[in-house]
Amino acid sequence: MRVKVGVLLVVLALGAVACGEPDEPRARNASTLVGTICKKPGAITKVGQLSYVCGSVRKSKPKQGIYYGVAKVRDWKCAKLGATRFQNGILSVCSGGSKVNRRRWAMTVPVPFSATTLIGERESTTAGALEAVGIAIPDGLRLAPSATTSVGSVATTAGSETTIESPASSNTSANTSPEAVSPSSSLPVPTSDDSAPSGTEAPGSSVATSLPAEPIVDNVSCAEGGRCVAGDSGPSGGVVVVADFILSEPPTIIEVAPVTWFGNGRGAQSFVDQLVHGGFSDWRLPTSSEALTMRRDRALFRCSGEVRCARGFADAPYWASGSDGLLILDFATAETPTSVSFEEFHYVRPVRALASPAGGIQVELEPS
Amino acid sequence: MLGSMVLVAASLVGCGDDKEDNVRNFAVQVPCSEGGPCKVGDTGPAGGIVVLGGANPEVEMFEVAPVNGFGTFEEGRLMVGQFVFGGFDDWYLPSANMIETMFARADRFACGAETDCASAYAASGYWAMDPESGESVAMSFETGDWVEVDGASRYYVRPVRGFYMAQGDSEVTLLPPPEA
Repeated sequence: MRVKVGVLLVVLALGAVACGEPDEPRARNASTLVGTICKKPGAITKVGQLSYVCGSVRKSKPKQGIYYGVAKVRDWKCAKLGATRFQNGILSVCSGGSKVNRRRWAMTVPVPFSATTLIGERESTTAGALEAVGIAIPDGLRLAPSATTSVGSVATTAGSETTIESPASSNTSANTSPEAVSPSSSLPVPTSDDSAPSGTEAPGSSVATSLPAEPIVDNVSCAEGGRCVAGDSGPSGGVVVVADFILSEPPTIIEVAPVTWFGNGRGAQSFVDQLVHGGFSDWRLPTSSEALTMRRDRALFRCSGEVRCARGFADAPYWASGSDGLLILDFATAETPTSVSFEEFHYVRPVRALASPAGGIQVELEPS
Repeated sequence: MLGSMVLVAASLVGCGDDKEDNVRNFAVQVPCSEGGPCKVGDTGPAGGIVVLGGANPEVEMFEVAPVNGFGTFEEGRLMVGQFVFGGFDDWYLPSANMIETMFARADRFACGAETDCASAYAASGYWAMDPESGESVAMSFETGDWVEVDGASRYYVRPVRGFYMAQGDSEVTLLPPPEA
Protein backbone atom coordinates (compact mmCIF):
# COMPACT_ATOMS: atom_id res chain seq x y z
CA MET A 1 0.00 0.00 0.00
CA ARG A 2 2.78 2.40 0.96
CA VAL A 3 4.54 1.59 -2.26
CA LYS A 4 1.38 2.35 -4.26
CA VAL A 5 0.92 5.70 -2.51
CA GLY A 6 4.52 6.54 -3.11
CA VAL A 7 4.22 5.79 -6.79
CA LEU A 8 1.07 7.86 -6.98
CA LEU A 9 2.75 10.82 -5.29
CA VAL A 10 5.70 10.62 -7.64
CA VAL A 11 3.37 10.54 -10.66
CA LEU A 12 1.42 13.54 -9.35
CA ALA A 13 4.60 15.44 -8.67
CA LEU A 14 5.84 14.75 -12.17
CA GLY A 15 2.50 15.86 -13.56
CA ALA A 16 2.67 19.11 -11.64
CA VAL A 17 6.14 19.77 -12.98
CA ALA A 18 4.99 19.11 -16.51
CA CYS A 19 1.98 21.36 -16.09
CA GLY A 20 2.07 25.13 -16.21
CA GLU A 21 1.70 27.74 -18.86
CA PRO A 22 2.61 26.11 -22.16
CA ASP A 23 3.94 29.33 -23.59
CA GLU A 24 6.35 29.95 -20.80
CA PRO A 25 9.13 27.67 -22.01
CA ARG A 26 8.70 29.06 -25.51
CA ALA A 27 9.09 32.60 -24.29
CA ARG A 28 11.97 31.67 -22.06
CA ASN A 29 13.76 29.87 -24.82
CA ALA A 30 13.09 32.62 -27.28
CA SER A 31 14.55 35.17 -24.98
CA THR A 32 17.66 33.13 -24.44
CA LEU A 33 18.57 32.03 -27.95
CA VAL A 34 16.96 34.35 -30.47
CA GLY A 35 19.30 37.13 -31.32
CA THR A 36 22.31 35.52 -29.74
CA ILE A 37 25.50 34.73 -31.55
CA CYS A 38 25.92 31.38 -33.29
CA LYS A 39 28.94 30.01 -35.07
CA LYS A 40 27.59 27.65 -37.73
CA PRO A 41 25.57 29.60 -40.29
CA GLY A 42 22.73 27.50 -41.59
CA ALA A 43 22.79 25.03 -38.72
CA ILE A 44 19.52 24.29 -36.96
CA THR A 45 19.65 23.89 -33.20
CA LYS A 46 16.85 22.36 -31.18
CA VAL A 47 16.11 23.50 -27.67
CA GLY A 48 13.19 21.61 -26.27
CA GLN A 49 10.42 21.81 -28.83
CA LEU A 50 11.77 24.88 -30.50
CA SER A 51 14.18 25.11 -33.37
CA TYR A 52 16.58 27.91 -34.10
CA VAL A 53 18.49 28.54 -37.26
CA CYS A 54 21.77 30.35 -37.50
CA GLY A 55 21.58 33.20 -40.00
CA SER A 56 24.92 34.45 -41.20
CA VAL A 57 26.20 37.92 -40.50
CA ARG A 58 27.77 40.01 -43.19
CA LYS A 59 31.53 40.42 -43.08
CA SER A 60 31.83 38.90 -39.63
CA LYS A 61 35.24 37.55 -38.76
CA PRO A 62 35.41 34.90 -37.52
CA LYS A 63 32.40 33.69 -39.47
CA GLN A 64 29.38 33.82 -37.21
CA GLY A 65 25.67 34.42 -37.22
CA ILE A 66 22.60 35.14 -35.17
CA TYR A 67 19.91 32.74 -34.07
CA TYR A 68 16.40 33.12 -35.42
CA GLY A 69 13.41 31.07 -34.32
CA VAL A 70 12.26 28.63 -36.99
CA ALA A 71 8.61 28.71 -38.01
CA LYS A 72 8.83 26.15 -40.78
CA VAL A 73 11.45 24.66 -43.03
CA ARG A 74 10.06 24.82 -46.54
CA ASP A 75 10.89 22.49 -49.39
CA TRP A 76 12.51 25.35 -51.28
CA LYS A 77 16.10 24.72 -52.21
CA CYS A 78 18.84 27.17 -51.37
CA ALA A 79 22.54 27.19 -51.86
CA LYS A 80 24.47 29.29 -49.38
CA LEU A 81 24.24 28.16 -45.78
CA GLY A 82 23.12 30.91 -43.45
CA ALA A 83 22.08 33.25 -46.26
CA THR A 84 18.99 35.31 -45.50
CA ARG A 85 16.27 36.73 -47.63
CA PHE A 86 13.12 38.73 -47.17
CA GLN A 87 10.04 37.62 -49.04
CA ASN A 88 6.48 38.65 -48.37
CA GLY A 89 7.52 40.07 -45.09
CA ILE A 90 9.13 36.90 -43.84
CA LEU A 91 12.80 36.46 -43.19
CA SER A 92 14.10 33.05 -44.29
CA VAL A 93 17.49 31.53 -43.60
CA CYS A 94 19.16 28.94 -45.80
CA SER A 95 19.54 25.92 -43.54
CA GLY A 96 20.87 22.41 -43.79
CA GLY A 97 24.17 20.61 -43.74
CA SER A 98 27.15 19.96 -45.93
CA LYS A 99 25.12 18.40 -48.74
CA VAL A 100 24.02 21.18 -51.01
CA ASN A 101 21.02 19.36 -52.41
CA ARG A 102 19.55 19.07 -48.92
CA ARG A 103 19.65 22.73 -48.06
CA ARG A 104 16.29 24.40 -47.66
CA TRP A 105 14.88 27.82 -46.75
CA ALA A 106 13.80 27.98 -43.12
CA MET A 107 11.12 30.59 -42.53
CA THR A 108 11.73 32.38 -39.26
CA VAL A 109 9.25 33.59 -36.70
CA PRO A 110 8.93 37.23 -35.77
CA VAL A 111 10.94 37.99 -32.72
CA PRO A 112 8.76 38.37 -29.61
CA PHE A 113 8.18 42.03 -29.18
CA SER A 114 9.27 41.76 -25.60
CA ALA A 115 12.69 41.66 -27.14
CA THR A 116 12.16 45.16 -28.38
CA THR A 117 12.46 46.48 -24.87
CA LEU A 118 16.08 46.52 -25.82
CA ILE A 119 15.38 49.34 -28.20
CA GLY A 120 16.54 52.54 -26.73
CA GLU A 121 18.70 50.93 -24.14
CA ARG A 122 22.43 51.00 -24.24
CA GLU A 123 22.45 47.26 -23.84
CA SER A 124 21.13 46.95 -27.35
CA THR A 125 24.51 47.81 -28.72
CA THR A 126 26.08 44.68 -27.38
CA ALA A 127 26.85 42.01 -29.89
CA GLY A 128 24.02 39.60 -30.27
CA ALA A 129 21.39 41.92 -28.96
CA LEU A 130 18.36 42.10 -31.13
CA GLU A 131 16.10 44.87 -32.20
CA ALA A 132 12.76 44.49 -33.86
CA VAL A 133 12.24 46.83 -36.73
CA GLY A 134 8.83 47.04 -38.28
CA ILE A 135 6.51 49.31 -40.14
CA ALA A 136 3.06 50.35 -39.13
CA ILE A 137 0.90 50.61 -42.18
CA PRO A 138 -2.29 52.63 -42.14
CA ASP A 139 -5.56 50.81 -42.56
CA GLY A 140 -6.11 49.44 -46.00
CA LEU A 141 -2.50 49.18 -46.94
CA ARG A 142 -0.41 46.07 -47.02
CA LEU A 143 2.13 45.16 -44.44
CA ALA A 144 5.65 45.89 -45.49
CA PRO A 145 8.33 43.25 -45.22
CA SER A 146 9.90 45.08 -42.36
CA ALA A 147 6.90 44.30 -40.20
CA THR A 148 8.72 41.12 -39.42
CA THR A 149 11.74 41.54 -37.31
CA SER A 150 15.17 42.26 -38.41
CA VAL A 151 18.41 42.19 -36.61
CA GLY A 152 20.88 44.92 -36.98
CA SER A 153 21.77 48.43 -36.31
CA VAL A 154 19.39 51.29 -35.99
CA ALA A 155 19.11 52.81 -39.40
CA THR A 156 21.15 55.92 -39.65
CA THR A 157 20.81 58.66 -42.17
CA ALA A 158 23.08 61.60 -42.65
CA GLY A 159 24.00 61.82 -39.05
CA SER A 160 20.55 61.31 -37.66
CA GLU A 161 18.92 58.04 -36.77
CA THR A 162 15.73 56.65 -38.11
CA THR A 163 14.23 53.52 -36.72
CA ILE A 164 11.25 52.12 -38.50
CA GLU A 165 9.14 50.40 -35.95
CA SER A 166 5.87 48.60 -35.66
CA PRO A 167 3.16 49.99 -33.43
CA ALA A 168 3.15 46.82 -31.42
CA SER A 169 6.76 47.22 -30.53
CA SER A 170 6.28 50.81 -29.67
CA ASN A 171 4.39 49.85 -26.57
CA THR A 172 7.51 48.53 -25.08
CA SER A 173 9.81 51.19 -26.31
CA ALA A 174 7.86 54.35 -25.89
CA ASN A 175 9.33 57.55 -24.60
CA THR A 176 12.70 56.91 -26.04
CA SER A 177 14.99 59.84 -26.24
CA PRO A 178 17.08 60.34 -29.35
CA GLU A 179 20.16 59.80 -27.28
CA ALA A 180 18.83 56.51 -26.05
CA VAL A 181 18.19 55.20 -29.54
CA SER A 182 21.83 54.66 -30.08
CA PRO A 183 23.26 53.29 -33.28
CA SER A 184 24.37 49.75 -32.75
CA SER A 185 27.48 50.07 -34.76
CA SER A 186 28.99 47.03 -33.19
CA LEU A 187 26.02 44.90 -33.98
CA PRO A 188 26.41 42.55 -36.90
CA VAL A 189 23.99 42.84 -39.76
CA PRO A 190 22.55 39.83 -41.51
CA THR A 191 23.19 39.46 -45.18
CA SER A 192 20.57 39.45 -47.88
CA ASP A 193 22.71 38.09 -50.61
CA ASP A 194 20.27 35.44 -51.78
CA SER A 195 17.52 37.19 -53.60
CA ALA A 196 13.97 36.06 -54.06
CA PRO A 197 12.91 34.58 -57.39
CA SER A 198 13.12 37.19 -60.07
CA GLY A 199 10.16 38.74 -61.73
CA THR A 200 7.90 38.20 -58.79
CA GLU A 201 6.07 41.44 -58.79
CA ALA A 202 3.20 41.83 -56.42
CA PRO A 203 0.93 44.54 -57.68
CA GLY A 204 -1.29 45.35 -54.78
CA SER A 205 -0.51 42.08 -53.14
CA SER A 206 -1.41 41.81 -49.55
CA VAL A 207 0.33 40.18 -46.67
CA ALA A 208 -1.72 39.46 -43.62
CA THR A 209 -0.83 41.39 -40.54
CA SER A 210 -1.71 40.80 -36.96
CA LEU A 211 -0.15 44.02 -35.78
CA PRO A 212 -2.62 46.18 -33.92
CA ALA A 213 -3.14 49.59 -35.44
CA GLU A 214 -2.08 51.55 -32.43
CA PRO A 215 -0.46 54.94 -32.69
CA ILE A 216 3.15 55.25 -31.79
CA VAL A 217 3.71 57.17 -28.61
CA ASP A 218 7.10 58.69 -28.66
CA ASN A 219 8.79 61.85 -27.65
CA VAL A 220 10.90 61.94 -30.78
CA SER A 221 9.11 62.28 -34.06
CA CYS A 222 10.19 60.70 -37.30
CA ALA A 223 11.01 64.15 -38.63
CA GLU A 224 13.38 64.66 -35.71
CA GLY A 225 15.15 61.37 -36.27
CA GLY A 226 12.92 59.16 -34.14
CA ARG A 227 10.94 56.16 -35.21
CA CYS A 228 8.98 56.42 -38.44
CA VAL A 229 5.71 54.98 -39.65
CA ALA A 230 4.88 54.73 -43.34
CA GLY A 231 3.20 57.98 -44.21
CA ASP A 232 5.09 59.98 -41.59
CA SER A 233 6.92 63.14 -42.42
CA GLY A 234 10.56 62.18 -42.62
CA PRO A 235 13.64 64.11 -41.51
CA SER A 236 13.51 66.35 -44.56
CA GLY A 237 9.76 66.87 -44.53
CA GLY A 238 9.10 64.18 -47.13
CA VAL A 239 6.74 61.25 -46.87
CA VAL A 240 8.14 57.95 -45.56
CA VAL A 241 7.40 54.95 -47.79
CA VAL A 242 8.43 51.30 -47.63
CA ALA A 243 9.33 50.44 -51.18
CA ASP A 244 8.72 46.73 -51.53
CA PHE A 245 6.68 46.42 -54.71
CA ILE A 246 9.13 44.26 -56.64
CA LEU A 247 9.86 41.31 -54.42
CA SER A 248 13.01 40.34 -56.25
CA GLU A 249 14.60 43.59 -55.16
CA PRO A 250 15.60 44.31 -51.58
CA PRO A 251 12.97 46.52 -49.96
CA THR A 252 14.02 50.03 -49.13
CA ILE A 253 12.68 52.69 -46.83
CA ILE A 254 12.61 55.99 -48.60
CA GLU A 255 11.50 59.51 -48.03
CA VAL A 256 9.63 61.11 -50.92
CA ALA A 257 10.28 64.84 -51.21
CA PRO A 258 7.26 67.16 -51.04
CA VAL A 259 8.70 68.73 -54.16
CA THR A 260 7.42 68.22 -57.67
CA TRP A 261 9.06 69.42 -60.83
CA PHE A 262 8.47 68.84 -64.49
CA GLY A 263 11.00 68.33 -67.21
CA ASN A 264 12.60 66.10 -69.78
CA GLY A 265 14.90 63.25 -68.84
CA ARG A 266 17.98 65.39 -68.59
CA GLY A 267 16.15 68.08 -66.65
CA ALA A 268 14.66 65.52 -64.28
CA GLN A 269 18.05 64.00 -63.52
CA SER A 270 19.58 67.42 -63.11
CA PHE A 271 16.79 68.54 -60.79
CA VAL A 272 17.19 65.64 -58.37
CA ASP A 273 20.98 65.85 -58.48
CA GLN A 274 20.97 69.52 -57.54
CA LEU A 275 18.11 69.44 -55.10
CA VAL A 276 18.87 70.38 -51.51
CA HIS A 277 15.74 70.08 -49.42
CA GLY A 278 15.29 69.77 -45.69
CA GLY A 279 19.05 69.96 -45.28
CA PHE A 280 19.66 66.88 -47.39
CA SER A 281 21.28 66.67 -50.79
CA ASP A 282 21.16 62.91 -51.39
CA TRP A 283 18.01 63.03 -53.47
CA ARG A 284 17.69 60.83 -56.52
CA LEU A 285 15.11 59.50 -58.92
CA PRO A 286 13.04 56.60 -57.58
CA THR A 287 13.72 53.10 -58.81
CA SER A 288 10.95 51.18 -60.55
CA SER A 289 10.02 49.39 -57.34
CA GLU A 290 9.98 52.66 -55.41
CA ALA A 291 7.85 54.42 -58.01
CA LEU A 292 5.45 51.46 -58.16
CA THR A 293 5.18 51.51 -54.38
CA MET A 294 4.56 55.26 -54.36
CA ARG A 295 1.75 54.78 -56.86
CA ARG A 296 0.29 51.85 -54.93
CA ASP A 297 0.50 53.70 -51.60
CA ARG A 298 -0.46 57.11 -52.92
CA ALA A 299 -3.13 57.30 -50.25
CA LEU A 300 -0.26 58.12 -47.90
CA PHE A 301 0.25 61.32 -49.87
CA ARG A 302 -3.28 62.60 -49.68
CA CYS A 303 -3.70 65.99 -48.17
CA SER A 304 -7.19 65.58 -46.72
CA GLY A 305 -8.32 68.88 -48.16
CA GLU A 306 -5.56 70.92 -46.53
CA VAL A 307 -4.98 74.20 -48.29
CA ARG A 308 -1.21 73.97 -48.12
CA CYS A 309 0.00 70.46 -48.69
CA ALA A 310 2.36 69.86 -51.58
CA ARG A 311 2.93 66.15 -51.33
CA GLY A 312 0.25 64.72 -53.63
CA PHE A 313 0.75 63.24 -57.07
CA ALA A 314 -0.71 64.28 -60.36
CA ASP A 315 -2.57 61.76 -62.49
CA ALA A 316 0.28 61.75 -64.95
CA PRO A 317 3.55 59.96 -65.67
CA TYR A 318 6.54 60.38 -63.36
CA TRP A 319 10.19 59.75 -64.07
CA ALA A 320 11.92 56.74 -62.52
CA SER A 321 15.34 55.21 -62.91
CA GLY A 322 15.78 51.80 -64.46
CA SER A 323 18.79 49.57 -64.87
CA ASP A 324 19.15 50.63 -68.49
CA GLY A 325 18.20 54.26 -68.18
CA LEU A 326 15.24 56.38 -67.33
CA LEU A 327 11.68 55.11 -67.29
CA ILE A 328 8.30 56.62 -66.71
CA LEU A 329 5.49 55.30 -64.57
CA ASP A 330 2.00 56.58 -65.25
CA PHE A 331 0.18 57.43 -62.04
CA ALA A 332 -3.12 57.62 -63.89
CA THR A 333 -3.11 53.97 -64.91
CA ALA A 334 -1.94 50.62 -63.58
CA GLU A 335 0.67 50.18 -66.27
CA THR A 336 4.19 49.05 -65.54
CA PRO A 337 7.18 51.37 -66.07
CA THR A 338 8.10 51.97 -69.67
CA SER A 339 11.09 53.37 -71.48
CA VAL A 340 10.58 56.68 -73.23
CA SER A 341 12.60 59.24 -75.06
CA PHE A 342 14.76 61.52 -72.94
CA GLU A 343 13.13 64.43 -74.71
CA GLU A 344 9.69 63.81 -73.28
CA PHE A 345 8.51 66.02 -70.45
CA HIS A 346 7.13 64.43 -67.31
CA TYR A 347 6.77 65.02 -63.59
CA VAL A 348 9.69 64.41 -61.24
CA ARG A 349 9.49 63.35 -57.63
CA PRO A 350 12.83 63.02 -55.83
CA VAL A 351 13.36 60.40 -53.16
CA ARG A 352 16.12 59.65 -50.69
CA ALA A 353 16.95 56.45 -48.86
CA LEU A 354 16.34 56.26 -45.15
CA ALA A 355 17.20 52.63 -44.54
CA SER A 356 16.57 49.09 -45.63
CA PRO A 357 14.24 47.05 -43.46
CA ALA A 358 16.43 44.02 -44.03
CA GLY A 359 18.81 44.78 -41.27
CA GLY A 360 18.84 48.52 -41.19
CA ILE A 361 21.36 48.69 -43.99
CA GLN A 362 21.94 52.11 -45.41
CA VAL A 363 20.76 52.05 -48.98
CA GLU A 364 23.34 52.95 -51.54
CA LEU A 365 22.54 56.04 -53.49
CA GLU A 366 22.35 56.17 -57.22
CA PRO A 367 25.58 57.31 -58.82
CA SER A 368 25.34 60.93 -59.76
CA MET B 1 -59.53 63.75 -69.78
CA LEU B 2 -58.79 66.65 -72.07
CA GLY B 3 -57.16 68.48 -69.22
CA SER B 4 -54.84 65.56 -68.57
CA MET B 5 -53.80 65.42 -72.21
CA VAL B 6 -53.00 69.12 -72.20
CA LEU B 7 -50.88 68.71 -69.09
CA VAL B 8 -48.93 65.80 -70.55
CA ALA B 9 -48.39 67.65 -73.80
CA ALA B 10 -47.19 70.72 -71.94
CA SER B 11 -44.74 68.71 -69.90
CA LEU B 12 -43.38 67.01 -73.01
CA VAL B 13 -42.82 70.37 -74.68
CA GLY B 14 -41.00 71.53 -71.60
CA CYS B 15 -38.74 68.50 -71.66
CA GLY B 16 -37.78 69.13 -75.23
CA ASP B 17 -36.91 72.76 -74.58
CA ASP B 18 -34.71 71.90 -71.63
CA LYS B 19 -32.84 69.30 -73.59
CA GLU B 20 -32.26 71.66 -76.50
CA ASP B 21 -31.04 74.38 -74.17
CA ASN B 22 -28.61 71.99 -72.52
CA VAL B 23 -27.24 70.88 -75.84
CA ARG B 24 -26.93 74.42 -77.07
CA ASN B 25 -25.22 75.66 -73.91
CA PHE B 26 -22.83 72.76 -73.88
CA ALA B 27 -21.94 73.27 -77.51
CA VAL B 28 -21.05 76.92 -77.19
CA GLN B 29 -19.06 76.72 -73.99
CA VAL B 30 -15.35 76.62 -74.73
CA PRO B 31 -13.33 75.74 -71.66
CA CYS B 32 -10.67 78.07 -70.34
CA SER B 33 -7.97 75.56 -71.23
CA GLU B 34 -9.02 75.90 -74.88
CA GLY B 35 -9.26 79.66 -74.94
CA GLY B 36 -12.72 80.11 -73.49
CA PRO B 37 -13.63 82.40 -70.61
CA CYS B 38 -11.60 81.75 -67.51
CA LYS B 39 -12.33 82.19 -63.88
CA VAL B 40 -10.09 81.81 -60.90
CA GLY B 41 -9.36 78.15 -60.24
CA ASP B 42 -9.86 77.05 -63.84
CA THR B 43 -7.26 75.07 -65.69
CA GLY B 44 -5.50 77.47 -68.03
CA PRO B 45 -4.29 76.96 -71.60
CA ALA B 46 -0.98 75.49 -70.42
CA GLY B 47 -2.50 73.26 -67.77
CA GLY B 48 -1.81 75.66 -64.92
CA ILE B 49 -4.34 77.08 -62.50
CA VAL B 50 -5.76 80.51 -63.24
CA VAL B 51 -5.29 83.04 -60.43
CA LEU B 52 -6.39 86.18 -62.22
CA GLY B 53 -9.09 86.05 -64.81
CA GLY B 54 -12.62 86.83 -65.76
CA ALA B 55 -14.95 87.33 -68.68
CA ASN B 56 -13.20 90.49 -69.85
CA PRO B 57 -10.76 89.65 -72.65
CA GLU B 58 -8.92 92.93 -72.11
CA VAL B 59 -7.61 91.74 -68.76
CA GLU B 60 -4.39 89.86 -68.69
CA MET B 61 -4.78 86.55 -66.96
CA PHE B 62 -2.23 84.44 -65.18
CA GLU B 63 -1.95 80.76 -64.69
CA VAL B 64 0.28 79.09 -62.14
CA ALA B 65 2.02 75.82 -63.03
CA PRO B 66 0.99 72.84 -60.86
CA VAL B 67 4.54 72.17 -59.70
CA ASN B 68 6.56 73.02 -56.62
CA GLY B 69 10.22 73.35 -57.41
CA PHE B 70 12.72 74.09 -54.68
CA GLY B 71 16.04 75.83 -54.46
CA THR B 72 17.92 79.07 -54.02
CA PHE B 73 16.70 82.12 -55.88
CA GLU B 74 19.30 81.67 -58.60
CA GLU B 75 18.44 77.99 -58.94
CA GLY B 76 14.78 78.92 -59.12
CA ARG B 77 15.43 81.45 -61.85
CA LEU B 78 17.35 78.91 -63.88
CA MET B 79 14.73 76.23 -63.34
CA VAL B 80 11.89 78.47 -64.41
CA GLY B 81 13.92 79.77 -67.36
CA GLN B 82 14.23 76.23 -68.68
CA PHE B 83 10.73 75.19 -67.72
CA VAL B 84 8.45 73.73 -70.35
CA PHE B 85 4.98 72.69 -69.30
CA GLY B 86 1.79 72.12 -71.22
CA GLY B 87 3.62 72.90 -74.43
CA PHE B 88 4.55 76.41 -73.28
CA ASP B 89 7.99 77.72 -72.38
CA ASP B 90 7.07 81.28 -71.44
CA TRP B 91 6.96 80.72 -67.71
CA TYR B 92 8.61 83.10 -65.29
CA LEU B 93 8.95 83.78 -61.58
CA PRO B 94 5.96 85.63 -60.15
CA SER B 95 6.22 89.23 -59.05
CA ALA B 96 5.55 90.29 -55.47
CA ASN B 97 2.04 91.42 -56.35
CA MET B 98 1.33 88.19 -58.12
CA ILE B 99 2.56 86.04 -55.29
CA GLU B 100 0.34 87.97 -52.89
CA THR B 101 -2.59 87.08 -55.12
CA MET B 102 -1.46 83.47 -55.28
CA PHE B 103 -1.33 83.33 -51.50
CA ALA B 104 -4.72 84.98 -51.11
CA ARG B 105 -6.23 82.37 -53.40
CA ALA B 106 -4.35 79.38 -52.05
CA ASP B 107 -7.63 77.63 -51.33
CA ARG B 108 -8.19 77.33 -55.08
CA PHE B 109 -5.11 75.15 -55.26
CA ALA B 110 -5.97 72.79 -52.42
CA CYS B 111 -6.46 69.15 -53.27
CA GLY B 112 -9.76 67.56 -52.40
CA ALA B 113 -10.15 65.53 -49.25
CA GLU B 114 -10.44 62.23 -51.09
CA THR B 115 -7.97 62.88 -53.83
CA ASP B 116 -4.38 63.82 -54.18
CA CYS B 117 -2.84 66.22 -56.63
CA ALA B 118 0.38 68.05 -57.23
CA SER B 119 -1.04 71.54 -57.45
CA ALA B 120 -1.37 72.57 -53.78
CA TYR B 121 1.12 74.89 -52.14
CA ALA B 122 3.53 73.92 -49.42
CA ALA B 123 3.38 75.67 -46.06
CA SER B 124 6.72 77.26 -46.78
CA GLY B 125 8.36 80.19 -48.50
CA TYR B 126 7.89 80.92 -52.20
CA TRP B 127 10.16 82.99 -54.36
CA ALA B 128 9.06 86.13 -56.14
CA MET B 129 11.05 88.56 -58.24
CA ASP B 130 10.73 92.27 -58.78
CA PRO B 131 10.27 92.41 -62.56
CA GLU B 132 12.16 95.72 -62.84
CA SER B 133 15.08 95.33 -60.48
CA GLY B 134 15.28 91.56 -60.54
CA GLU B 135 15.48 91.64 -56.75
CA SER B 136 14.43 88.52 -54.93
CA VAL B 137 11.77 88.38 -52.26
CA ALA B 138 9.99 85.45 -50.68
CA MET B 139 6.67 85.06 -48.96
CA SER B 140 5.82 82.48 -46.37
CA PHE B 141 2.76 80.61 -47.56
CA GLU B 142 2.21 79.50 -44.00
CA THR B 143 1.72 83.00 -42.59
CA GLY B 144 1.54 85.33 -45.58
CA ASP B 145 4.51 87.31 -44.26
CA TRP B 146 7.54 88.30 -46.27
CA VAL B 147 10.58 86.38 -45.14
CA GLU B 148 14.20 87.36 -45.04
CA VAL B 149 16.28 86.03 -47.88
CA ASP B 150 19.92 85.74 -48.77
CA GLY B 151 21.90 83.94 -51.41
CA ALA B 152 21.75 80.66 -49.54
CA SER B 153 18.03 80.75 -48.77
CA ARG B 154 16.07 77.92 -50.27
CA TYR B 155 12.38 78.22 -50.97
CA TYR B 156 9.77 76.83 -53.27
CA VAL B 157 9.39 77.96 -56.83
CA ARG B 158 6.11 78.36 -58.71
CA PRO B 159 6.32 79.33 -62.36
CA VAL B 160 3.58 81.55 -63.76
CA ARG B 161 2.69 82.73 -67.22
CA GLY B 162 0.35 85.40 -68.52
CA PHE B 163 -2.09 85.24 -71.38
CA TYR B 164 -4.96 87.12 -72.90
CA MET B 165 -8.20 85.44 -73.55
CA ALA B 166 -9.85 86.12 -76.88
CA GLN B 167 -13.50 85.76 -75.93
CA GLY B 168 -15.57 83.82 -78.41
CA ASP B 169 -12.44 82.67 -80.12
CA SER B 170 -10.35 79.65 -79.32
CA GLU B 171 -7.12 81.52 -79.96
CA VAL B 172 -5.09 82.61 -76.99
CA THR B 173 -2.75 85.51 -77.37
CA LEU B 174 0.40 84.94 -75.44
CA LEU B 175 2.34 87.59 -73.61
CA PRO B 176 6.09 87.63 -73.94
CA PRO B 177 7.88 86.81 -70.71
CA PRO B 178 9.28 89.83 -68.86
CA GLU B 179 12.93 90.68 -69.10
CA ALA B 180 14.87 88.63 -66.58
